[in-house]
Amino acid sequence: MLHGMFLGSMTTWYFSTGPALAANRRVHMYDLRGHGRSGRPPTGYRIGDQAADLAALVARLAPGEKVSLVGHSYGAVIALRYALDHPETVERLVLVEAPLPIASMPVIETARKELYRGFVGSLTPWQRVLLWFNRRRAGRTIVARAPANPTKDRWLGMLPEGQRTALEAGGRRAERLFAQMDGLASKTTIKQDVLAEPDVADAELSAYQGRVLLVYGTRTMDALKDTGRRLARVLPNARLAWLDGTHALPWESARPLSALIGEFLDA
Amino acid sequence: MKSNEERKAEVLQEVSQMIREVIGEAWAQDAPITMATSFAQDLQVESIELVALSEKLTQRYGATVDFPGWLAGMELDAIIGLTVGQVVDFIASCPSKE
Repeated sequence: MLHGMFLGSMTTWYFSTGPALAANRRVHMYDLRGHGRSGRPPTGYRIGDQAADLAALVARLAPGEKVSLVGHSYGAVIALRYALDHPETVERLVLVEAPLPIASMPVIETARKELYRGFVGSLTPWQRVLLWFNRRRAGRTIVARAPANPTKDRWLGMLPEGQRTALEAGGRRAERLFAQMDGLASKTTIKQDVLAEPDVADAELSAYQGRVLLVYGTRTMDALKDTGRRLARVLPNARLAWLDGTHALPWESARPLSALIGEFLDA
Repeated sequence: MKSNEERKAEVLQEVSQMIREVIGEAWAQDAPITMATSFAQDLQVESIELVALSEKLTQRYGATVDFPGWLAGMELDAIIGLTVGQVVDFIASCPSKE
């Protein structure tokens, strides 16, 4: 099972869909390069690099067997790339809220700025002054004002409830969540790698014969809905399912999602 | 043969120690942890730390203590309000590996 970018980690699945599926299957979840407790090297965040990490894991955990893959967002694009490169090792593919082309996913620079604004907004004036000093010393520019911002709400709206309330409440969890995001964005090439990522061609998609379940939220971003419809049209053996929710389906709609995935994997 | 109360007190000590290890930070080493302590509000624990705690629980108490499975059955509100006491009660209610 693969998670999404920036604030995702194996916890996306660990307390929800993972155990549900593990009732009658062997389930592996991992933290992608740069996320959770996995290492955070400065480079290697292209989809191909992440898919190579996955290939190494699959070779180690299930040598000679077929695996089914479940991915959310960035994780879904990685799973897809792996499946396209190694179709003979893949049983079934579940892509939850997969964005294609990933470079168009409006999450990188804008989201980081908005989350930062939200984070600063949760600090007391004195904490903001300290933050300003620290960042100035580190030679970083800063956005010190944090007005109520409609785009901030849009970005916060993309996060699962737990993370959103933690960021809004401030404190240790907000700091750690923010540090995770900021560290990835500023100390690695993830932004550049993802922005440079080309689309996957229809020709390549239409050659993939394996069974695919595509799941999207009824209230997700339009670009994602379009991707869902495109993938459903181009992949020869795909089924498109809609669940009530936004991009944060694995948290918001954990039960229905788990049931849908379980049913698909068992069918 | 331990009484239920004794077992719970023991489990509370062990789980508190595991929580301190998982958080790792200096403030956590002296922070009071009781049955009423809440993970989200009092300890400000992140889900990724809950994963680490979950692994320690399995190591210590065995596979009968299925912490992820237990959380998977809870509503979001319940998870947000989770207390150390609830975890202790859950562990005490699982068949012991001892």
